[in-house]
Amino acid sequence: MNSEKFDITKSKILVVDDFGQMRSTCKRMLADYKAYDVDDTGSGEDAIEKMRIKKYDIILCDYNLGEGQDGQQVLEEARNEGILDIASVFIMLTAENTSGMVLGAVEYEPDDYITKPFTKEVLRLRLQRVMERKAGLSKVALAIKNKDYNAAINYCNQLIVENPKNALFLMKTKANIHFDLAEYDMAEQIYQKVLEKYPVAWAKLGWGKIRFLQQDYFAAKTIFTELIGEFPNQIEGYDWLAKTHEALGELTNAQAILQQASSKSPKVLVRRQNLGDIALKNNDLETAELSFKAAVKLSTGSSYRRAEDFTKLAQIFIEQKKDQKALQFVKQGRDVFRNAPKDLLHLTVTEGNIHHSFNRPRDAGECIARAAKIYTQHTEALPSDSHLEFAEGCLIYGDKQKGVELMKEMISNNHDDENFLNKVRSTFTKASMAAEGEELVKNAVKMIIDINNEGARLANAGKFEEAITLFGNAARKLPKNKIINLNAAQALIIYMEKNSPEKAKLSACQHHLETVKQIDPKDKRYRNLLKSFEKLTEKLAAKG
Amino acid sequence: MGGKATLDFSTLLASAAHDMKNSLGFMLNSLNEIGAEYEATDANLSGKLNLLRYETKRVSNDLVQLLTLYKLESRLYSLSITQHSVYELLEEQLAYFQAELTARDISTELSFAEDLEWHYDSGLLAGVITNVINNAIRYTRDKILLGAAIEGEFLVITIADNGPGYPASICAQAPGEGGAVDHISGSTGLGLYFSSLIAQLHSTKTLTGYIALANDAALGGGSFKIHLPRH
Repeated sequence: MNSEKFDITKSKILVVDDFGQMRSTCKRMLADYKAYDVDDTGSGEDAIEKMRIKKYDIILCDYNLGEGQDGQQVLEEARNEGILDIASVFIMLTAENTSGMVLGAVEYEPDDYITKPFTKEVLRLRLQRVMERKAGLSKVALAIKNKDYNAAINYCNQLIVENPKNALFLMKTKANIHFDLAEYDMAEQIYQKVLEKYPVAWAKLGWGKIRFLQQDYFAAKTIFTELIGEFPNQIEGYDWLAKTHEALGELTNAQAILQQASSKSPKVLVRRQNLGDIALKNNDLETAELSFKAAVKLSTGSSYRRAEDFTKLAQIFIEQKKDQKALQFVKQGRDVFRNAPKDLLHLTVTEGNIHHSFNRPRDAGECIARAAKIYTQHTEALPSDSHLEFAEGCLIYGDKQKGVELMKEMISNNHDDENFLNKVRSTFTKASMAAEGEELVKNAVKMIIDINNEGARLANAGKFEEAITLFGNAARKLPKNKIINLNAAQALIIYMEKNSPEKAKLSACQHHLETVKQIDPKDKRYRNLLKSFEKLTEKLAAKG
Repeated sequence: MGGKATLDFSTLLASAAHDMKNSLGFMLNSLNEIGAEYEATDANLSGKLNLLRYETKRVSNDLVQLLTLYKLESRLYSLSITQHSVYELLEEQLAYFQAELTARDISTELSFAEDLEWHYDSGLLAGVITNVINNAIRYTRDKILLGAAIEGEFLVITIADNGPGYPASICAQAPGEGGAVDHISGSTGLGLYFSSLIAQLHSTKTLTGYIALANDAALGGGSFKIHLPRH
């Protein structure tokens, strides 16, 4: 053991255990190593509360926390909420050897398990190893938090060279970033390279997910089946195998796998939700109802609570022609989500849908009016699916003209997103306006493509200033269109690279890039343009 | 009252063992705290505390073995054979006994490559090693040596000491047989049975895991070897 290397005097530490005696024992052990900033709590719920307020460097959490959440749920919730970054240390304390007991998701593995009873020397050794492994990760965590993905990857590469002993963990972090950026080739390369040497669950899961996302479902099925064979406790494998079955149209198999996983970990909410979703698709309303009811119950007070669990229950009751029951769940949901605009909007539109299904136009109209209030107040903060949902309500039983206007705007902002455009089309079809919708899509898309083509023509002819003006004007008219903003930034960058950087153009460029970052910080073109922009900024600064 | 309450005896024993183990955990920590406060000023107390600590760990370790056997028997434990650092495993076992080793002036040596890795169930193997070191502390004069090496298709972990060695009767005994309780030495045969079972659980299709006891160690005392085949 190397004593100089171990320093927790400046670490912020949280001890979570339902036994007061165990907490004080841990605190005394930590005090022996001169840790002075140590908090403790007896419940998982309070632990989350504390982590929201203070950023801890080390968390020692008992797995079995009595009545409320268990340690695994605390970990999942903390990671999910973003209050525990990859640089923090989370150690799970377990009563016995738990390798056969603890059910986990790869994404939410603790950094280490310590079996009780343990001595202070063991605690120190484990902390020391994990901290050594995570050394230097705080700058990666910060870069990820700031959505500065280029820098995060650079730091990972740097750390792999500096600290080859931790290469595996860093490779995992790097693969995660590539995966999040949809750079699947890069991520897959890492997974395969790792799997050649180490049969680790995360790499196998990641590889399968990429095969799945590339729609290579047969390969994905083989990988996930192997995964749950090798790691029967890694519950995410079941979720993805079920998804793969679903993609292959094998809904019954998908449900069977989720049922198997659900019985293995009945307390895990996400699994209930997934099972409910698939059962609903399978038209197994009974299982769906049970699953969503369990989900609603399990999610009380948790950040995994979904408004969809309530609205899907409502949907089940609509199908069974029980409108009062459907309304009852929507009302319950509205109460729970009264402070969350997105969810409240979703629930209010669902309520309108119920009234519409039961032929009560006046009640439906009243709902869409309430929805409109929420929509107007929170337009900026709402994700695109919420806009679409509200517009759909307007088209079907509200202000049709307003619905069309909203749809037009959404098409202009997302003209390059075929997935989204398909959603737009299906919304128009539901409102019995398929032909009109198709026309709208065609015109809006054509207008933007024309602008882009014209801009490209100008640029090719060397008329960069004209291209800059064209895209600048277009971006003012379509402020939320990603491609237009990217093109506007690119025109400026090419111009400055050919001539020289200037303050006004750099600031215009920065504005377009900022806009794109708001829309899609992971966009590859955005990140490349950002690099060029940073070089130009440096060049100007160097000139003084 | 309805029918007579029925409870499987082994389940009852297991929950009691679980409770006892937790209780011992607290006892151990209290002993350490008393030690931290008074040991420096009272050498006499220190000796007594060390004996208490050692015996507490010994009983705790027995209970862990019993619980593990119960879980394996009733299929509550699924074997998880994955890749681990052998060095870290043994280093940590020494850390667990740091207080006893220091108190008894026992020197230890970890003599093998730090980057040695192997596939095994780390929880189960840790149980085996804890037990063997526990015994070594009891019988050694002043040295314990931990070694590990790959021999053919096996990882061989060796724990040797410079004490009087194993009694001939134990060395001769076929592994897994267990033995009669010896109230003088405190040997119940549990540790050997446990070790041998865990070794066997690590068998592959073609190779069987096993343990071997001998008195031919370089240090002159007993040596325990566990052989785990490559997975």
